[in-house]
Amino acid sequence: MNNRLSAVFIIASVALSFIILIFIPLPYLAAVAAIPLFFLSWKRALSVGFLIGLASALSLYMIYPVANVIKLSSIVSGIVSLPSAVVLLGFPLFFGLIFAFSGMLWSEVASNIASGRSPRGKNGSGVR
Amino acid sequence: MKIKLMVVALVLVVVFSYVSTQFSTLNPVQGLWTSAGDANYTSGSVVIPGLDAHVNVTIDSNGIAHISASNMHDLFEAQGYYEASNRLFQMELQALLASGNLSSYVGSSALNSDIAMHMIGIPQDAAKLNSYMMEYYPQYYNYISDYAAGVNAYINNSRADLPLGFKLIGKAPFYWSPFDSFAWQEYMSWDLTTGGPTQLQMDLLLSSFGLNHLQQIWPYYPYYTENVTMVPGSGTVGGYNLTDQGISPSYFWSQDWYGQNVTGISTSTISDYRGLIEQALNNVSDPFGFPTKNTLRPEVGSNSWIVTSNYSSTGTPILANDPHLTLLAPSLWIEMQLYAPGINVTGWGLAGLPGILIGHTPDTSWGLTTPEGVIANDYLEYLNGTSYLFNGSWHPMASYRYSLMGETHTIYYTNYGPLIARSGDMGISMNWTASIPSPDLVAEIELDTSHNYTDMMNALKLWLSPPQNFALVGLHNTGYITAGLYPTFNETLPDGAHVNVVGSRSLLNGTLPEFMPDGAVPFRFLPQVENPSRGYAFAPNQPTVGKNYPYPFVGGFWTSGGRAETIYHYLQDHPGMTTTDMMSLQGNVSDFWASLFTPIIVGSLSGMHMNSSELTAYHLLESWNYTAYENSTGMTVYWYELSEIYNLSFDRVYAQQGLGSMTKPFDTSAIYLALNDPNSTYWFNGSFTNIAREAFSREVSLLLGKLGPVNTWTWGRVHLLEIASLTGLQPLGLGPYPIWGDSHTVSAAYVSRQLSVPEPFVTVGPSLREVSDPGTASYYGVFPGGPSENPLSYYFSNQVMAWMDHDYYNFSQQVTEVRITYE
Repeated sequence: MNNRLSAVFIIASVALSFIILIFIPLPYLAAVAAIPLFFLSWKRALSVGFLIGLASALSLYMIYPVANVIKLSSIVSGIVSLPSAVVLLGFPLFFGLIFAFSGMLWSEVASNIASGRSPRGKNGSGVR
Repeated sequence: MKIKLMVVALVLVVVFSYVSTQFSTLNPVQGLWTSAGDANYTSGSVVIPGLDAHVNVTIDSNGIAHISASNMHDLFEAQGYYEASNRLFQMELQALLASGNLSSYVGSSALNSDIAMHMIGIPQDAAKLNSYMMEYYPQYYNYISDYAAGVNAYINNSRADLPLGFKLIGKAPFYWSPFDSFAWQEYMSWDLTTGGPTQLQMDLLLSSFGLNHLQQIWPYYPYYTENVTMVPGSGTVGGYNLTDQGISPSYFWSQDWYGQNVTGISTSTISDYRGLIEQALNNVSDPFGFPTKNTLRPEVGSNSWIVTSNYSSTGTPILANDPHLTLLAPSLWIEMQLYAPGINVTGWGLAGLPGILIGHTPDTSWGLTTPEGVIANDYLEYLNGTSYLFNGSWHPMASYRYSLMGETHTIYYTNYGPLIARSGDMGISMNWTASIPSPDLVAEIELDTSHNYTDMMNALKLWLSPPQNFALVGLHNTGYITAGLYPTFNETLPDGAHVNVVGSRSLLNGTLPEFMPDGAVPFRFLPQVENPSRGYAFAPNQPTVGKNYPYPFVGGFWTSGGRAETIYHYLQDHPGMTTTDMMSLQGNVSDFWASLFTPIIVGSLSGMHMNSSELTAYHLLESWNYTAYENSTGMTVYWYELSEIYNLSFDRVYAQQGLGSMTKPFDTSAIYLALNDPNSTYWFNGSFTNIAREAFSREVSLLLGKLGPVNTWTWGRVHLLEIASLTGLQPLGLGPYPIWGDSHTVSAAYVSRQLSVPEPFVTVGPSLREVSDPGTASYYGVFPGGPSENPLSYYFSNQVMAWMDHDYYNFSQQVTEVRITYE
């Protein structure tokens, strides 16, 4: 698979990630957004998935005034007795982790399917 | 290897997915973060079903909404929508609290509160009031229904983006109904009720201390309480007094108003049922309620005063009011103007109730304080199964069943009211006037549409519970009335004379018919004054009439009146009052009782051997001017000295009797005893001087350890205000802030007298300040909050700093910030 196509799949994954975050923001649906990463090796899928999940979820804080986000995280942290950083990063972190391991899972599933039909590329790294 | 990786990935996905459900409300788009995005107001339009025409809402730079509609129906629906859009979570939490259903939101931790609400009768009485209003005041009931429709329109519009509070607790709002408004009205009535728990406390004190000692610390009229407030003179109202009934006031007030001949119960019987009394007191103490219901509460009250056109510089009467309530974030109040044909009113309404409760029209203005006359009496009941004894025969008790968290509870009623405690065949019932439907909302809307003094007086004929001192001002006339329902029962004095009295100081015998309320103070004889000849009147919770009043307030638990003295002296010395003078007096932080007590304490300390820190503290106290500013060090020395004196005297005696949680005597009682019984063995261990000196040494030692050098002991370090959230969640509140004042200053910041450094947070104070001069169209106000309940909004607390600085907003000089159309 060439780089252009891989870029298309990554962009598709990013788009899916935003669609899910905006319309059905259930963290486990990161597994769906990670489907297009199946073509990456499991290591790439893991790292790229984590980055996409974390960054897309974090970026959505930018739709609010920064000062209000910080103040609200401070209020919530006081209520739940957790540090503000955990309150702020909690959801993006879990979204990113689910994204990452889902990407890894899809990668391995695809790899298994593919290995049943043809030899796979460089095992464990790079684009298949 | 591949299978192993897949399994690992799958397991991790499942695990993280499961754990992440705890974080789903933190998702950046639809979670609680949306509250960070819509924290402030934006211009635009909103569709509200049921409106006849467009309603214009403008919000000015002070956060005051101006709602303009083409008819009353639209106006109240718009008010409901506006209030819900700002305060829905608060309103629903309050309604659940009042209707005894809080456990449905917060679980079993609220069960005791819910049971207390039912035992007091708040939800039952609200349901009764709902039916009563529907039947007898259908036009006004429609307004309340319109308000509820507005609230529900907001609920429907906000389903996709609920207010922050709902997101935090993971609940959806319930639909609002008039019942919810009435439940909150009943709750506020209870909060402002005098009596009920008070007499129970008095009985416990009586059974422990005996009558003489009780009278020393809790006289019928607090020491130094002169009749200087509302109705000057002996107590004649409407040309009628006690003497006209052939009863000498001095004879009347020399009676033992705890005695068996006036209560039907002997002191020894009260001692026998101490456990029952404690049970009753505990049962009606709401653990989720406002701190004002805490038995440890400091002496709290409110201020209002009026000056006549002859006494003002403008030639028109002026009014000032600052009701003291629990300060909450968001405030109990919400500020707005309501305009439609037939109504143009601006001021503060209680969130959850339609209309404006304190405010002004173009021609009138009014304010409220609590009169402190008893409207809830307790009765000792003789029971047999589900029957009670009355007038020599047994009668079946009525019952009311309700369910909480799947469990059914039953409240039994005697002819007096709900049983609030039972032990075997003995019980205590409570007779509370708010169980009689009170069309207060009708009176309120009539005030909101008033054009002159007479209109206001007519409106108040409908006000029943809780009685309030209404300060009234029109374009030319001004005055006061203690409006409300004061039930009376007939007492027979030892000389055979009969007199109708208001309330009791103690439990009454429920089996005897003579203690059944059989009348009420007629409206024309309620304490009142119009255009007082001396030029001013005021009502800061002291007795409003003298001891010759024709319907004696036996059940009168007045405040000690330090604020009243300050107000009195100020008004007396300031003919030609201006609105600025009125504001200045509202901001006064002089402690009148301190001006009496400090010289006594200083006298006791003089000659005492002191170390250098004690000497410095002594000089601070000696040179103190009795003001409680945040930077005052003398105030700190005085307050902790007084706290230590209490600790060594009254607190010690209370604790010995197991009464540590009961309300302690007023400062006036301490001053009186220090002057008139300084060698009291019972209270002062034989010497007030020794107590004062030991207290001083202890105080200095305590404060040195906690605060460091004496000259750093500023009041603001130990006296802090917390404007708490009704949820009890500290991050949703405001403060703590260093705060001026104390429990006796006009600008009050009430504090429990406890030996902690800092003192317990101040939680009660002026919930709003109002100064009105309708004759010159001058209206000013401020309150410690803002319209919004969203802590991220500028409008959550936009007036707090002005309130703390004793600044005011001019209602007639406001800049529109936002325009919203309801269509």
